Amino acid sequence: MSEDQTRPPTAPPSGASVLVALYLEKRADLVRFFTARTGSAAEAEDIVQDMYLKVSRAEGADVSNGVAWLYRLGSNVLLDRVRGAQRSGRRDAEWRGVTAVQVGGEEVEDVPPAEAGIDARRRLAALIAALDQLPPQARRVFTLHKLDGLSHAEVAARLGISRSAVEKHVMAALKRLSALAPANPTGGTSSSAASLGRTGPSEDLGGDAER
Amino acid sequence: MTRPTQDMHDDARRDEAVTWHVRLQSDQAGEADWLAFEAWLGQPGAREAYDAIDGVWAELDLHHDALAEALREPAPMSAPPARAPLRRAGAVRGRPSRRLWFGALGAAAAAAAAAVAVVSILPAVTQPHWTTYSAEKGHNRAIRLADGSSVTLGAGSTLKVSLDGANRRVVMDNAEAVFDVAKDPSHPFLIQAGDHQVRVVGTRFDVLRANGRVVVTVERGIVQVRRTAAGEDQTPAELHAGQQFQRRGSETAVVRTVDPREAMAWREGRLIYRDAELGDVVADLNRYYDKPLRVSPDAARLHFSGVLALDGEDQVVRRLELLMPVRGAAGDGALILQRRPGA
Repeated sequence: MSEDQTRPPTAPPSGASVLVALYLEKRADLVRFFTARTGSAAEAEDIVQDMYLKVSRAEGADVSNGVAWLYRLGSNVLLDRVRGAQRSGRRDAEWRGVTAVQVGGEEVEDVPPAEAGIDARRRLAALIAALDQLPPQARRVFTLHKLDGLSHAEVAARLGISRSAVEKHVMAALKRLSALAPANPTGGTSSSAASLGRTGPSEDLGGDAER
Repeated sequence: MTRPTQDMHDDARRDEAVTWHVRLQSDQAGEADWLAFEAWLGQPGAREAYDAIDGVWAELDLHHDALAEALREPAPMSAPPARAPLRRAGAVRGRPSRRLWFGALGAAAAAAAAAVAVVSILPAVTQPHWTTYSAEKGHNRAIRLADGSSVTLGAGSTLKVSLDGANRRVVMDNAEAVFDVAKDPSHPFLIQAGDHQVRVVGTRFDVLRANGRVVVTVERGIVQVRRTAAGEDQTPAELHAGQQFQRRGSETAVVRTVDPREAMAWREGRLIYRDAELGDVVADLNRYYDKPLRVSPDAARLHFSGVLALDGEDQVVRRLELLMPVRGAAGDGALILQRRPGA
């Protein structure tokens, strides 16, 4: 996974330059927002900085709602950090004593090793049980949205229901999940994320933003 | 830990946090919503409540594969009745296997497929510009596309990419690649692999087009595959995570459940086969090694299961000789795998 010189030799698309201008215009707002969101001005700066590369690479994003798109993008950068913290938390718990868990920046597989991952398995079982107890339609909506990655609008079209019905079902599922006792190393983001750097591939750039 | 009144307070915050989380995911949310959310974050306990929701949300990604399996497996096609009917047709090596009968797909399935189709927001502005990427024999190549997608191009493979039209497009033939597609519903990602088209919005999957065969393996998300040859049934097959589509020539397509990591093991220098025809194995190996490898007609249909480490060509051939009733013979500038006499 080394070479990165393969970018097409074309000029950046016009959609990107519009978004970059918007980003620069809203930068202070974004830093203020993520300070409120994370409780840390330093982390907010990091997040907004991380956004820049993504904004400059974004192509053909629908710029009519560009500001909201920026907020979603930044929220996804933050989520990436949470995921990174969770992964390394899990690794620390499971592979205690093993030193090198990263090779050349490649993230090690997420599959818990047999012996150690009892907590992870218990937690997974709880998550599955919570989702399993949902009414069928809510479960269907949640699976399509969260696991298959369809947006609210796509789920609505697929199932022939309204967007607000999709939102209602996702809320029901999330409430049930968040009522579970929290997992041990997860949750808080402010303390851990900043020091971690990027653990995983930054997923779906504009993508999670749509979910 | 907390007092009862405090609990009630926390529950209310948690519900508010859930509502915000879902609302803000909608593409209907505008700047005003985000500013209102920022104001809400200033209330006591709000940030912590929202952190917890983000934590659960991220955790679901962490457990994505296990959850997808657990929630879908007992009733794989239970969801909408309009879903393409997949008939069971026995098991392939103990795994559940489904055979697709394209002719049997009704109007309902077509309607369901149409519902998935994504409306393009931005019109095509310019003539598409194509960029060609090639990987040398023996070397996989990592490519980052300007839309944020990444592609691992298999050794000896070539593909063309165009990102500036209404659709993102890839054309590939005699090639294998893993695609990690940046989600962008307004620009579907279309891959033309021979006479099959693969359509996605944002997901991760492997496409192999070689030896008259198309194989699509999905690791995450939903992918549609349809034939594009004129006069053929073009109803799309829909694949979910952990499913693999395969069609040889104009034979009936087969969809089965696989471990996507096996199909993508080539990126770590291994080829993993279950019940593969030797002819297909040889076609794969020829994308890795300089000296042409051929297979005699009497050996091409032999079946192979196992792992081939991609070290030297001679070593790989020797391993095949040990595992299968074949032997390599030099001839005509190539190495020809023939059925062993008496085998």
